[in-house]
Amino acid sequence: MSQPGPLREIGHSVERKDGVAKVTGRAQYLDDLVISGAVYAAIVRSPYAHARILSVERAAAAAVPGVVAALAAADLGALGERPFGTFLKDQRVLARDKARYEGEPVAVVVAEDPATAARAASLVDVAYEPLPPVIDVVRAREPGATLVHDTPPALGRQGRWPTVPGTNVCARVAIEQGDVEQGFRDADVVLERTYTFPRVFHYTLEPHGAVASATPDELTVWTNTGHPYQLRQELADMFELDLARIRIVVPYVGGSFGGKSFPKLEPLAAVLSATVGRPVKVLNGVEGSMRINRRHGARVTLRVGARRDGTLTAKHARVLLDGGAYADLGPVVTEKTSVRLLGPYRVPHYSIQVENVYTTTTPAGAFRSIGGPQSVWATESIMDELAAALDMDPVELRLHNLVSRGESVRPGLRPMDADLGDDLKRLGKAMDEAHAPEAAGRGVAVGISNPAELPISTAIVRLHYDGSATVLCSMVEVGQGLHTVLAQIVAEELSVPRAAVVVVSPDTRVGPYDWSSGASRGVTIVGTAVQRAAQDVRAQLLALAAEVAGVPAAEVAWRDGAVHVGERRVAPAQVIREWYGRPAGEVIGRGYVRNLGRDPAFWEIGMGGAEIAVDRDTGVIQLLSYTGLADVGRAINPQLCEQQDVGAIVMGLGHTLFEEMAYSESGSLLNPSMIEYRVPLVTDLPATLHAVLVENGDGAGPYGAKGMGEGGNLAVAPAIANALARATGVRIRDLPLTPERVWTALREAAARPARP
Amino acid sequence: MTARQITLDTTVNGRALSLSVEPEALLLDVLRERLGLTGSKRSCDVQVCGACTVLLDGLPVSACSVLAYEARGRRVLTIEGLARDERLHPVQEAFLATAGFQCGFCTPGMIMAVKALLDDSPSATPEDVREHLRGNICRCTGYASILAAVAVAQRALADGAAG
Repeated sequence: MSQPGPLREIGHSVERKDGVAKVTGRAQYLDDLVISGAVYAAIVRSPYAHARILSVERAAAAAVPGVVAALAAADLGALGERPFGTFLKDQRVLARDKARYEGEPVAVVVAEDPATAARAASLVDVAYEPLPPVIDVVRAREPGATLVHDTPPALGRQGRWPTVPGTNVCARVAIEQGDVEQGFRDADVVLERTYTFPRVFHYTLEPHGAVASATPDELTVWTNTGHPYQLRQELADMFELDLARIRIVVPYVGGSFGGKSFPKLEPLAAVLSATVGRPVKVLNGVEGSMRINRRHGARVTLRVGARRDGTLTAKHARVLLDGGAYADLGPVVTEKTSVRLLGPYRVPHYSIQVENVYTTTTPAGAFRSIGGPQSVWATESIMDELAAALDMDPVELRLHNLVSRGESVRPGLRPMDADLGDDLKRLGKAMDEAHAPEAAGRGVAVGISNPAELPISTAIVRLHYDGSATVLCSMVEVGQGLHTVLAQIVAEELSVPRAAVVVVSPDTRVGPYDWSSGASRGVTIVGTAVQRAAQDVRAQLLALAAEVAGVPAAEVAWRDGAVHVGERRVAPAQVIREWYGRPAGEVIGRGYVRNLGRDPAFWEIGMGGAEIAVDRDTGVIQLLSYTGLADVGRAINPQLCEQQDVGAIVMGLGHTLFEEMAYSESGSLLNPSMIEYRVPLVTDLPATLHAVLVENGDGAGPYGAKGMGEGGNLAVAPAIANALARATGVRIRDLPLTPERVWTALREAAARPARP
Repeated sequence: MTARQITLDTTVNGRALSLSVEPEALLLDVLRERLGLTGSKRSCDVQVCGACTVLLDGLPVSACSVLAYEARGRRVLTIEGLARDERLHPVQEAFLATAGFQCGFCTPGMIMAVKALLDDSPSATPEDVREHLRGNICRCTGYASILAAVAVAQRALADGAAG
């Protein structure tokens, strides 16, 4: 049917589809939408990390002019009692009997305008009986620890991992191979080290929000979610409505990074609308968003064994993830962490156990490579420690152990689909080119992750009789450039101008099913669905052209971007006009994806190398150069790929150098605003920062593409800590590498007698 | 809405306006809610992120932390006022050329901050640019494409593009 020709659209850094809207301020985000008749909610939050709720006095708030309702969980009827959660049904829209973290919504005031709602919310008087907070994951796992959840929650629709009753374990995953103790007996060197990774906040510039309008037989939610279809299912369960009666509309989204995955404020907005009978707008600001979601903190104890020549023989890992008060995606993070801890190396014997632990802190969920940066921080730090113990070059040690293309990483998963050794050497060369003469130390790290599981997506491409095309799909453009790349794919497949391709933002009433926005799955999975839909359009055009010409199907072909009936060339839109007999109608193509071979659809490769200098008087690490490497298979839009990687690297600088949600012993968030919570600024950029894209055309996605976007932040922390160790001899195993931590470690090292 | 309203005479994007506002009304709320100028974004609420940056008599301010009344008798320029007759400002063109944005939520404020800088010092050095943009957070791009956009805009303005 089709003859491959040179690609016109693919591989070019074309201008973004959303560019003009975004640089003119015309792009409309959730808070810019006008929903007529909407009232506004203000949330009353628990000031305690853990407390029984004795009473909620709301009459004074309800009496304020302009207030529509002042509501506690008890006012919400069955909807207030119904738990939600995609993996564990452990959360309710308002805390009922007890609050499980500081900032948990306990009551809500709904009013005609936001200022009135906020003023009245301050009049809601909640009586609490404080309970012991559960802040530290190690103590949370001790026998007799205070339980965050007194009764085990039921599994959610996608749940596979139950809680461990009588403990704070939200999910536990263990994987093993061989005989790990035999592996350690085979080793000449065994190291055991513990690394910690902080709780960090996504800080999407746009805070979470939702506007809901509930009627008895239909529910519409406008939201900045990344997961319209997962959300549809949650709300269908909660409201006992058919899927077709739930409408999720997603406007422009101001960043997600996973933080807007799965239900967030949408269930609350929907229940409030059902309760007050009006559309309800719930926006909670950035400080509210710090009470919605974060990345899992981690404590990773690793034991590795190696022979004298560097050959790894065994790996043993025990990991506690700090999951916060509710499961969210935590069980999946637990499972992913177990695999991501294996690293890209041949390890004959391993035993890995990961526990996600409930604590009375902001719930943890999805965040750009779930469990990835935490795992790679530990595995790539210990590789350098092992190299030092073996007196080997750290790159040589890695090259000696990296799995080859086609080799198994873990039984049951796709064999390695990249040339890791070549990539690592290429990274080294790029680092040499970026070399800063004043560098005191250089470090590298290699991250791999298994993204893009559950490759379920559908797409519709409508070719109109003027030659323009509408693309319907439901993965969310959160800034990654998805719509631009999808337009490139459709323009390529149908030979229509890219400018004539419109990609529609998700609305579950019209856009077809997609599993999720995340896991670096856009190009490979959604891109494949869209490509198949465009190819379906092409196949139908051929059939229509044959019918119009009255010739057998064998006499029509797609060539050079057009239908050919014999030697006659017919443009795609002309086929439509001829078949309908007038300028009317359209051809509708569909694309379904249910798998792309074995999971994962591809291995995401994120390598990085850093050069640093250290100010020994202050402990400040100065990052001089950073080079990232991503294996993207084929870059459909190289500029967007590079920008994804650079963005991920700079985001990684945050958890490496300064980001941490700090909690007091009593469970109060100590840095609850963007004044105290420090993210990377433009002044934190190294003088040299670039990303190498590896393109072997070997991905499972369109034109050989693989996904990317998460991998860039995997290597940042260990690469910098490894550089620090090389520069100073000091090994720090706790993030972030703050000046205080570095300075203290340097002082302690100076005070220790030199080792013989 | 209440008796406490005051009159605010100001100029927004070249249009003279006389508005009744509450004394404590923030400039950002008046722009977004009263005037429908939703290009200026609300994010951190504490004058750290720069997403709400607008120009007050040419100087960048965080509209989330400025009283609307402070705009009395002054000229406010928002992202909506930057393009003239659908012709984009060179700074906007530069952000398009380098794709100096991803999610776009910081972009209006970022562009206004860059315009303020280049109006004041067209040949700002890369160090000046970084120092000036410390008050504008972008969580997506890693800033590199934004710095590239500033350089492109500087060249275009030096070559005589209408700023």
